Amino acid sequence: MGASVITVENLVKRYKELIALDHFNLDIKEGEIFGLLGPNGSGKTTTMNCILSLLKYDKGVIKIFGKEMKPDSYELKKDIGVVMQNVAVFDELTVYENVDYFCGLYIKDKATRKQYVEEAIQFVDLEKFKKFYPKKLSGGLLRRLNIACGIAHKPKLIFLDEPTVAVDPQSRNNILEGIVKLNKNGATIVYTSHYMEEVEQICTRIMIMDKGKNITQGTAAELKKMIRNTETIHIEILNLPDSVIEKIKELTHVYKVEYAENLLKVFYNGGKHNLIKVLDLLSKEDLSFGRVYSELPTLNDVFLEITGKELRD
Amino acid sequence: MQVFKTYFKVSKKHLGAFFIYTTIFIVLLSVFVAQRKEESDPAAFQSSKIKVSIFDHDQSDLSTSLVSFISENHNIVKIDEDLKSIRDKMYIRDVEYVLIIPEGFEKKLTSTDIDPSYGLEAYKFPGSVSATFIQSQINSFLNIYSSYTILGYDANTANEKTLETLSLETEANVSAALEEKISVPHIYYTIICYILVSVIVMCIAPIIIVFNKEELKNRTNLSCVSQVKRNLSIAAASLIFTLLIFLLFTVISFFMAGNEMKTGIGALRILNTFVNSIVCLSFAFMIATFVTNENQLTFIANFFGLASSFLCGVFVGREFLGKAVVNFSKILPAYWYMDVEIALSKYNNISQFTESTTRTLTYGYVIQILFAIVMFSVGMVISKSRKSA
Amino acid sequence: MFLHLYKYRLKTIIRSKVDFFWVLLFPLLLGTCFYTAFHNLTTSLEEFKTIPVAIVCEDNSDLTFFKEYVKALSSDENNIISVTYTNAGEAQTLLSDKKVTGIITLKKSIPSLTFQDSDSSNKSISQSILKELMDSYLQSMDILSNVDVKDTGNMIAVINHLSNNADYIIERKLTNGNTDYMLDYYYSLIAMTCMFGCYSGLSCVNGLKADLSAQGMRKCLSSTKRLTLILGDFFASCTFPILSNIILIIYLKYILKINLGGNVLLIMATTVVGSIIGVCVGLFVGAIPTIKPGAKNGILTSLSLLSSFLSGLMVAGIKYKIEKVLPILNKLNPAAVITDALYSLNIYDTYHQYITCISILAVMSVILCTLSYLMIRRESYASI
Repeated sequence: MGASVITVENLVKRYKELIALDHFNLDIKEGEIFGLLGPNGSGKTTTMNCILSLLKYDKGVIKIFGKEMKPDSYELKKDIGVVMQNVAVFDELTVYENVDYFCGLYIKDKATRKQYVEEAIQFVDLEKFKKFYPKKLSGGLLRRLNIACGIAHKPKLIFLDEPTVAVDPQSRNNILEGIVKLNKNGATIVYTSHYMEEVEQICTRIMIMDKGKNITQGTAAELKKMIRNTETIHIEILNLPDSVIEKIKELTHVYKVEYAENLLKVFYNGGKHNLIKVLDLLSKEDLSFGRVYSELPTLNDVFLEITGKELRD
Repeated sequence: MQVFKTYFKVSKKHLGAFFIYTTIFIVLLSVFVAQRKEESDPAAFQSSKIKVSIFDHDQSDLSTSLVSFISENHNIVKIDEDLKSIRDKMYIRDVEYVLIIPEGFEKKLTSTDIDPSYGLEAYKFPGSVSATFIQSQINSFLNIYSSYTILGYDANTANEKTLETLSLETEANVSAALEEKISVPHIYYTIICYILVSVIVMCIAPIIIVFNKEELKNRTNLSCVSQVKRNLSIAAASLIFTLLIFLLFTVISFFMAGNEMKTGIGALRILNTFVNSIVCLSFAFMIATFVTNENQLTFIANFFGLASSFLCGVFVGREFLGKAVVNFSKILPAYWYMDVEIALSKYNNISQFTESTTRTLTYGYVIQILFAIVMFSVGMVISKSRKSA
Repeated sequence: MFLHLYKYRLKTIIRSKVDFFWVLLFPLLLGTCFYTAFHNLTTSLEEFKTIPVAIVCEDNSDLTFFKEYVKALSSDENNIISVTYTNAGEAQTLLSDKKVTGIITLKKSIPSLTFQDSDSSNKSISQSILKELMDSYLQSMDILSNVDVKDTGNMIAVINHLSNNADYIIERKLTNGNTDYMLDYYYSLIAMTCMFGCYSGLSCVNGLKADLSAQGMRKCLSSTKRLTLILGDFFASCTFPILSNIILIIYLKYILKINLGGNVLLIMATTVVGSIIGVCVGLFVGAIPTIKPGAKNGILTSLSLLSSFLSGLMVAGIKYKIEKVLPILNKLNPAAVITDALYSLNIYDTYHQYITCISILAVMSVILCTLSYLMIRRESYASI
């Protein structure tokens, strides 16, 4: 981890009565893939827009690459790339022309730009679609074009705001792989999403936010360690007597048992080989069961435990 | 029902535009009616008084008589005698005719050698019919005056006798004059043809377009509501707005025309407008099925509104358009609307209607309804083909 | 950078095929419409046709003079009227069947006229002409009544004098330009086409503001200076309306062969400035943050139509009425100023009036551009 690329101190943003960002702090280091995770309306996009100086904010200091970020900080903007939630391309221009246009807003030299554009199209795997118009592209391909337009000028800092919304699984994987590649090539990534699986998959550090506040931050492993739950075992079982439930409750590391609609859930806060122990118990009681699986805690669990809400509504 | 409700939700966003269009067109309508009323005011027309400037360099008995004659029949306006002033004043219609009487005119006129090349100079407003009329008055005056001078009368007597002679007029009778009477209701219900098509199309078509786009996006085509049912729901909801617009402009006509609307003729005018509103709605429905954005809609709606208004005699009277144009315009619904309106304008009372009048009215109403049906059907067909595309 | 922006914005505009089609075609179609409607008007009014008349003599009074008078009018040389002498009943039939324009009934040598409904302007002109001819006859008879029957010398002198029908008036030309008043409609059409450039202006603004489009947002985030971005898009947005107006002028002048009056290059220059003001109006309205995006199109359409109407698009005399009642409105209405400029090119030999109009348009453009710039250049918003 290197120097701070983005520092946000005490950011406050109000929309009339509503406080969108409540004394929000952020520190992103060079080379990170920083994930900003939170439910809809938590302030992720607002944070991003404030950092980019698109939104006016009421209080706080925002610095990028050590310098204060303002709307006319054109030198800083040269090194920033943005991939927005809404696909921002021109329907009347081909894939190649779109990337060329947006790259041209940063790179004046024609030869360099041509090279960058080719590389960007190659990077998102849209070479076969160079002469296509956006209307002819599927959702996933359109998102890839959106990304190409945002990163063609090889920025050092890239913001991606929910880039995989409504995208097919194959394109989604392509996009996530691409982001990791960009990071390997030296870019710092800020990735906002409400898909915890993606954030978990690629982000080196994650911040969970809600209602404009920073709830917690750390690596995925660190976050999960914050909560009690280490494992949850699910067993399909019919007519489970209460006495057996009591017995399961007494097993070590079990802190909660739930049984509803023929599904038994046993929550553990530690221990090993928990599955064997509980199955053993059930066999001794002469109970047969159906599907059995063990679930490790997710970021949703982290979020749930801290805020009492689900990440995804 | 779902479609119906959604329509009103979508329409809420467009209320601002709705209000703006209606206001602007009411302003346009009021100015148009006021202007046309003034232009065709019978009092103003009959007297044919125009604004005249005379520069009398002769100051003779003849010229004084002539000037006096002109001032009796027209309005004298004082301006500067240079070409620029004359042009400027004419440009803004402050003066319509300028007469310059050169020095020595009386002598030349009353000599036996009458050479009109030593005549008066005149500047007249281009295309002015009244200006042509005043010229013939002046020529008549001078011809008669010079005749009396030939007969040996002195200036005063010649002048007196000239005025007497000029007062002689042929009796003219016009039998059973069935003229298109220019009244406020007629002016109003002429321009309303253009106003309605513009307001209805610009207010309603955008809602239907948004509706079509939203649907395609959300793929509610897969819903269990059939295309026909859905279109009928849209048409029904649009009809409510159309009726509101129709009622608004009908109420305004009562304000402007008052008592003249509280007659049988007034009722028939309202019916004609109602039918025309339905035609406009069908047109809006039809074009909303293939137009994809508001810019296109603006151009198409304005083109058809203006073109059909010009070709069917809304802005320029039908009598001024060529036969070919009038025949061609029969393919436009506005023609049949105007047919009814022109027929109605000739009468004060329904009891005066002849058989041919009733026929004209019936044709007018029925053909407009047929247009509405055809356009709506075309809209349904296009809508269906778009869905399956 | 500027060329890069200009090139791509122009491509975007040209490739929005249906918009492109309509912006180009709309004025051409409407111009053709006007031409079709008005073309006949001037020719039909100027054409003079011999007026058919029926003459009925109710008594046996002396009609020598009258018949001579009528003979002169219906001679091959003059051919102003064509005469049918008949009885009252047949004359009425001819009138009802529209075979004659009017009936002249002679009673005690005094003519009176009978017409039927006049539902066409041609007919009413014919009726006026007939009345004037009969008035002329009555007046001539009155003059001759002052002459002693035995004084043949004077009688002949007066008759000769009257039959010369001298025209004492020499009409001076006020202008060398085309005085066809239908030209006002064409000027208003050109003005309206200029005003419709406002949609290009609106679309330009939508592509520049982050709160109006995603593309605008991307542009705001780029490292290109704001002014450069705005200028590039603005000039591209002006190009197409200017081009479509020039095409309209070429179409009207060289294909429909309408004499627009004045120097064609200056007319085109007027439309260039007119198009720019149209785009600026769109730019300005589009840039106002408090107006909802959906309402902007409505406002621009209404403004364009209203300003065209007030410049005389639908009713020719309105501009002059406004000049008397509220002259400042004509100076503030861009469409009225454009029509004024075109009219002055046509009518005046000097360019003073024309330059005044162009200056007004230029000043308006600068003011609107400046105000728009102040609203667009902002890159931070209270909310997006």
